[in-house]
Amino acid sequence: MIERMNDRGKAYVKVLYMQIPGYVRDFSAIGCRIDFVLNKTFPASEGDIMNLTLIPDERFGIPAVILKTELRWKSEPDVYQSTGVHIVGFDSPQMEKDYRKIVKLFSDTNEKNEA
Amino acid sequence: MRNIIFNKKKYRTVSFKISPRADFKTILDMFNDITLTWSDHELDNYNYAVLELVNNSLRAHRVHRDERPIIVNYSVGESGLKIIVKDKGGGFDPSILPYDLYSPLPDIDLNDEAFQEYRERNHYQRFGMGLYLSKRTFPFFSLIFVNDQDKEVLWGSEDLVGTIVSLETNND
Repeated sequence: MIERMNDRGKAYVKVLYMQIPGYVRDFSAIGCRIDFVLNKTFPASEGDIMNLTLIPDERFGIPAVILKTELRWKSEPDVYQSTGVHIVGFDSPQMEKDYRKIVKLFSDTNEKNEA
Repeated sequence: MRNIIFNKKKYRTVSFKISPRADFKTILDMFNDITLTWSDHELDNYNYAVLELVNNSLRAHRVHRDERPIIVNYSVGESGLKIIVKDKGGGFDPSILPYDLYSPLPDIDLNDEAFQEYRERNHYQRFGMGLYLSKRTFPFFSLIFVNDQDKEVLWGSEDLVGTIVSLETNND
């Protein structure tokens, strides 16, 4: 499974796919796990290419990032439709840089403040 | 006996005070440190719903420049896990939500025009899902607006300072 191939940091980033809202739960440099919230059948199958828009919280000052991904797996739908995607491209080199900034924000080596 | 495990110790109640300035990764890690001594296969979903509420509370505190902490309390209840999220974020007008908070969940279309318009108006920083996800995740859900002494008040009351959301599972 893709999620076992790389160290992954737990994350919380909003994401949209075809206007379907979701949340990135963890990610690495090459892929992420996303939980979508929907009350209908998820409109993609394993192997499909999905253009995702990651929307970091405004506090981070990072603009939305458009990712081209391949759907590797999807779970049985429950509260969420969990999916695993592999990144196959970015809309621009700047978006790739912004994606790496987001990954770093949630990496375990990130310096922590007191909650 | 059922317990909550946090930082490798067992508790009946775990309470967090979260500063509105807290780093979100730290909050995320904090909730990930919680486990239950009984069935916890749904714990991730519980935490995701709570994170969404906490994120809303953090935003409300920032908007109102209120530095008081948001309180999140996990406890072992009669029927399972009980979670309370308490903020001083000024409450919110339920009529601005893109759905009727008291509608049955199957009647709510998450991608209808009202949701799309809500998300666009909020520059996609808000999905309008926080309370919806709590209702979908927990069998027991309640929301009240409160005054400074945490006594219930109605929306529109001059005394309203915040919100308390109570959630409970029915794990066997």
